[in-house]
Amino acid sequence: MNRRFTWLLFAVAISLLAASAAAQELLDGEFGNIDLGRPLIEPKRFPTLKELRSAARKPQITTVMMFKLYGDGNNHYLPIWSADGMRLAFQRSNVQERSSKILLYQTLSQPQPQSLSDDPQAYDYMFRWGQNSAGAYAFVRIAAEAGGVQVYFAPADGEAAPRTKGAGRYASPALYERTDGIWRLAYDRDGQLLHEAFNAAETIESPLDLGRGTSPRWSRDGFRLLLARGRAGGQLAAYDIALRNLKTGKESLLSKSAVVRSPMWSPTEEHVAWYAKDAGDNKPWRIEVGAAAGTGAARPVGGDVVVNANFEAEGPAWEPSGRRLWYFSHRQHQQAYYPLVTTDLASSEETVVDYPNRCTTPTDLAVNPLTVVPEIVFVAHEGLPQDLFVLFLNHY
Amino acid sequence: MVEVVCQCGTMLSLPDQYAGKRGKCPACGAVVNIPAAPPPVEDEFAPPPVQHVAAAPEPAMPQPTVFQSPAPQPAAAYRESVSAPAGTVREPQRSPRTPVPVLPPSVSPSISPRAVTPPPVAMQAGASAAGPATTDLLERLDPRLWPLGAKLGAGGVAIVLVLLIGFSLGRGGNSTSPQRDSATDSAVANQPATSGETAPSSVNPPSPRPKPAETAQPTQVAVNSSPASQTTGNGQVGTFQEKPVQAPRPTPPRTPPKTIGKPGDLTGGSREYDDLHCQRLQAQHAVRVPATATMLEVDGERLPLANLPQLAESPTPLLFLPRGTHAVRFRQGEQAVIVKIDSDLSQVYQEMRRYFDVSGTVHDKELFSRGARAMDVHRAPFLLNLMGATHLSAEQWEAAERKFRRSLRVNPLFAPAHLNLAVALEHRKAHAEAVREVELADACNVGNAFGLSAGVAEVRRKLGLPVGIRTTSDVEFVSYVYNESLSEEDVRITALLKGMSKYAVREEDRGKILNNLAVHFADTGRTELALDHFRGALAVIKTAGPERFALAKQVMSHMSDACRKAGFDEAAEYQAMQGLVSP
Repeated sequence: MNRRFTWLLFAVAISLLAASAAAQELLDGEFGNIDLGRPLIEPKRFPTLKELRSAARKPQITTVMMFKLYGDGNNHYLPIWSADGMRLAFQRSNVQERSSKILLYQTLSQPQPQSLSDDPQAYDYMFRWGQNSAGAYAFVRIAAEAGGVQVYFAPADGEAAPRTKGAGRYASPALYERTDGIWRLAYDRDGQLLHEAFNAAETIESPLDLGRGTSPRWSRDGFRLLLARGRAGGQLAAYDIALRNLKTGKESLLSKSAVVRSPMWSPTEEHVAWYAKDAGDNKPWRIEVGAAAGTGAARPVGGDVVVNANFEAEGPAWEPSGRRLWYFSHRQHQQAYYPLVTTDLASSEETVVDYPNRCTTPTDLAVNPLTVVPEIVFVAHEGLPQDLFVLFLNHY
Repeated sequence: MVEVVCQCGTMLSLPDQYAGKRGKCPACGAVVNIPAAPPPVEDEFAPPPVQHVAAAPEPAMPQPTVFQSPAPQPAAAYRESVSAPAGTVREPQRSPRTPVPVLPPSVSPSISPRAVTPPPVAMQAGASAAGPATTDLLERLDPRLWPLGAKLGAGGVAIVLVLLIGFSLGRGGNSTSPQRDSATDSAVANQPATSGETAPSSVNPPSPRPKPAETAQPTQVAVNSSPASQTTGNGQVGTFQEKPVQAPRPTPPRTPPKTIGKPGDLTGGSREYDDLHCQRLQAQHAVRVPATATMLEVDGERLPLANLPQLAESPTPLLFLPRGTHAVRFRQGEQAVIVKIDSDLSQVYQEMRRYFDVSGTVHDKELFSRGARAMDVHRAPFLLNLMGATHLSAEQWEAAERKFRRSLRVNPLFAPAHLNLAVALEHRKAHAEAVREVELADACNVGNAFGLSAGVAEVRRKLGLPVGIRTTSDVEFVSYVYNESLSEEDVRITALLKGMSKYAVREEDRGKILNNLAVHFADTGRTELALDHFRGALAVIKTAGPERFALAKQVMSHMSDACRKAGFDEAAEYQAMQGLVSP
């Protein structure tokens, strides 16, 4: 009797397995039961080829996969993609320790990100990947041992070390790597924009004062600097978006709005986008876009945009083609769920893109700069803390 | 060997006896902590180790505090990543060590490149006889005899030594040696040098090859070391000098290979010119082109190459240079990087061709075994190019063309494959493409680094091109992967699967995802695309855990099936490779 029962159970188990395999409808040679090692939100298992083909054929933009990349009970912010789309950095805020740490995925397959510092007293923020670099980066650290607020620099596969020293508050680093081993670093020291050049052995160019400003961004050729220029008149924290040609020294103002921040090159470097709003409290943020050549007036692209009020983000999120900008908007939210919104630069057409309604109050959206389908990282709440999520859509 | 990088960037490769100790870097004088010797990294395709008599503990030797790095420096140990756990084979880093851009003060005293690791010395054919023989002897001394010798006193020690040396000499003739057969290289070197990757050897294939069983193979087994790793550059191990005790090796007979272990194991088992060795050769004779390069200028002369961002797609975009010191510039407005090449690439390349007897009876089994060891994942273009030549000699033009394109997919700046591909394209009357390839061969043969000038000139004449006049050609990458067009659906599926695979924590699952991408193309009849993605899966699976062997076999069986359906000659290759993949 027992033996019969065992055989019966065995037969049932085999049938269930067969049914399960059939349910996946695998092609010849295709592997099923793939485990990404991440908690999937949607779908519940890794999609099969047939499912992917079906998704790729859909004319409307839909979710292919969404999963939580990281969460540890703390609040996380500001995911930033490297230029090669293979690395990700973000910020972790620990309220109890009153510290902030930068967490890095040098490879996205890491089970856990690495922290730049184990020192509970160190406060790391303002992280930026190097322009034209494979893995180098700069960030700002507030730590007693470093002597105040300093910019740190780390070459690819190297250790971070302070690049600046002395009194003052150093902030907003922007790093550029040349092919001849020379690094160029621009940053803000007490409201003055400085730029220096160095290599592994020595300083090539001492810090050069470029005037009042902050938030520098290198162009790919290294000859132009996008920045937030301190507004004439001495008003504190009042900036205009400007583009400076380092060869000629000529500078053109791109923005006219009262409050602007976080300028960002478009992928083709033909345009610049930034966040802007009118003067006054509780005014909504918008995205404005101007031509890098300085021709024509800047125009608004997205309205009532969700902007991180506490930390300066990398900037508005361009899709790799430069055709559209992606963001979250307060106009489109349904209670705590905020769908994605994208606006076409040429036509100004706005499109709302839904994704699994499993997290709330998202912010700090970052689009992979290279993937030809949307690979979007953002932070949102699934419970109390703010975690990191990844979303794949079927096409742009 | 233990490897450590000094803070100044100098790479130090030291015998295991220094593991756990401290010493001074010869370049900068800084104190360096030598890590403990890592566990041995086993190559899953290596034959079982030959039984050695363990070396006796040496009497107290003076421990050097300054690590002598006499010029030329020894090549790094012949092993893959030292950080890999035992039992895991990992591909070397994405950026194999290239010749260091060492900046002489006269060029630009204030600029020095970021990487300052000195260039590894090219592996010398027939490394110093004293060094390998010395280590050979030490490994054969029976430790049980040392206490006896001590008891007998100095005279007794001498007697024991003499007896053991005689014993070792008696065994040495029959046992296999970890040292590469230097006499083989002499015999090879004595052959008349070929004129490089000349067209005649490609367009006029030799007489049909003999059956593999008739092909003579050099008798050698490399176990766990390379010749150079056993020396410190002057033939000594530490400060212990030993006269060579092995009898002079005769000219190697053309004997059938010894099989190691079970029948069906790899023939020969030599690691000479396997993919890892080829990667080192590539690194020693080339400079890596950065992803942001917009031009290639060597010694003031701009190479007629455009569309350089395509090189960023390649795993090893390395520009080969001839012997000497060169100033290489990659972008307008930026300084040149000084690159020093210590040895003659054309000589190295000819030796490789002679080793595989490319101009005669091609040692295709040796080539195949190396491809199998690499799981058909190559990070240097040499072997694929030679495999293409093998197909050419058998008049398998399509298979040859695929191999040449695969070679260029690994490194789009590899001139010999461009030249061979030009010949193959011209054979099937694809004149425009052949012209493009010969122009690229000409452009990439910087300073006649490969010795291809005569061959290039001949092919140019055949194609009706003027000799000595170059036109700028676009560097390609995508077209070497596939010639077929991709639909929007293909593009999206490729992006989705590749994108999602990046996040897979386990290599096994990442490999499965990439395998599925390949299946998408195989299922729709795009065989070359499928094979390319299957290899992408294998590249990941190689570094997976214990499941990797079974997984690799499955993937290879998928490749074999895809080739069979498409009528590709490579079906048999992948079928055979499955049998070679085992723990």
